[in-house]
Amino acid sequence: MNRVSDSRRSNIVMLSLIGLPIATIAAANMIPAGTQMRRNNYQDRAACERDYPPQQCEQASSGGGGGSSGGGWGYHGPYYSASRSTATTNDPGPGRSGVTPASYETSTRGGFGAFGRGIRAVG
Amino acid sequence: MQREILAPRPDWPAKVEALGLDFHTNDGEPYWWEAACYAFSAAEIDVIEEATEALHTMCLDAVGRLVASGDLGRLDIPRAYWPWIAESWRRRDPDIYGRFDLAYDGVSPPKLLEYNADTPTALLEAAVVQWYWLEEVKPGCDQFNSLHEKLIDRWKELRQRAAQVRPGSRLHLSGVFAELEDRRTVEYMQDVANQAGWPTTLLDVSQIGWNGQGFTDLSESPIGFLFKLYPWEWMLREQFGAHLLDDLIGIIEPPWKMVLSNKAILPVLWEMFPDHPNLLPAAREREAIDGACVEKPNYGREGADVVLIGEHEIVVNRSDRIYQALAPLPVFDGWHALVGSWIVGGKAAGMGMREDREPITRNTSRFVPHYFV
Repeated sequence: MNRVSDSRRSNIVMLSLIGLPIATIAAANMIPAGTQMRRNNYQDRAACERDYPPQQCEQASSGGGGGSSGGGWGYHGPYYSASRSTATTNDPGPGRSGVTPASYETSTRGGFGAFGRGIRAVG
Repeated sequence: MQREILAPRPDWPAKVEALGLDFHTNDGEPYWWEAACYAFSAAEIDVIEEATEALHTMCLDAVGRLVASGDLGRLDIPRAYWPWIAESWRRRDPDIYGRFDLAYDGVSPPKLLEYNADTPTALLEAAVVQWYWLEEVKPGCDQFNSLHEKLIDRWKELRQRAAQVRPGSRLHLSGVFAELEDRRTVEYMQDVANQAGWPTTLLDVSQIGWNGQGFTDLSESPIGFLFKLYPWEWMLREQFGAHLLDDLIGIIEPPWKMVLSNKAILPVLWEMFPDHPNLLPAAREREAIDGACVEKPNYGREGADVVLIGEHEIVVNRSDRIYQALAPLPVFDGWHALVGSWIVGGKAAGMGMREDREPITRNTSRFVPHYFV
């Protein structure tokens, strides 16, 4: 085969995301290992918005993890650290109303990334 | 093969930053360097391309042999993961890419120094930034670089395969986003995956959750397919490592790539293909290598802890090291030049040049564009 006549480069290189603000990336603060996260469940949006700004209240999906009760909740707030002593500065907290949520979901985060805090991950 | 001196574009910082390369200068030291470029002949590119595909084939043979023999212990992979890796290989879980680092002077056959099979970087520079440089600075010339199109094509293939398993699947992409270069690399991978039709979500590797049943993102949605710019050997040893065996998710690069992503594969390749023109003698013991050699850590990156050992120098063998015959990089104008040759979807896809004043290429080594005629 006559390789010399074959161009080896891309015909066109178009980018759609590069250079855009990284707002689409969730808060880049690394989460320490074993951090338990919670998010409150609410019957309706109004209840959620008593605790959080409107943009932090999401309609509940069918997926879900461990928690203090089962499904049937309409909305949930953002994840926050279950331990207030280890919460980061941008942690949304358990809600401004101060009322203990009737239901919340839990998830553990920070289980990956410990090595990456101090060493280059790529080569 | 030559190194040319040329004037950089007057507004080059703004141009490369617009393409995502805002890490072009680190602590005042240039990383992207366009005051020079490397020029090749088409015949030399042919040689690099053929060597890359030959090395890829040999690597796959090595994976097959090690998995079949159950000999993964020599790669320092925890035993608990051996069946999982073997199953990943049996399924031929799809991979995306890798980068072979080669010593090549335009005369002798390219020699494999190491294979970055799991978390290769310099992708944005090789696929995008040097392409735009070529268009503007060497418009009548060619470049060994079809990375961008091949990446999109490969992600399209994976999308079709994923749709058969989980219709409507989303791709999550993860890395250490506190590192700007890593973040930009993952963003670029997100871009090509989007162009291939994948809906995508980015999240830092520390934001991956475990809800007792499976891995989740910050919306507590299940992660079905994950691209990670994060090393397997770290994930296995971290708190969530054991859950990898519990949750069947598609991960790129797949588990079987672990067999190739540490330098302990180099002695295996030499054992299987002794005297192959693209390989260097390599062993677990220094005394098995005649002459000067290089001591390399199994899991080092970007030249970290690589030590040159003199012809008559004796060292104490270390179990976490391999020893490889010395193949000096060619030197142009005082710069040691390294060929980084990419493989995407099993095909040679392009290359990027790195150079350094020192004989060992490191994370601070410059990226220099190339062309050929």
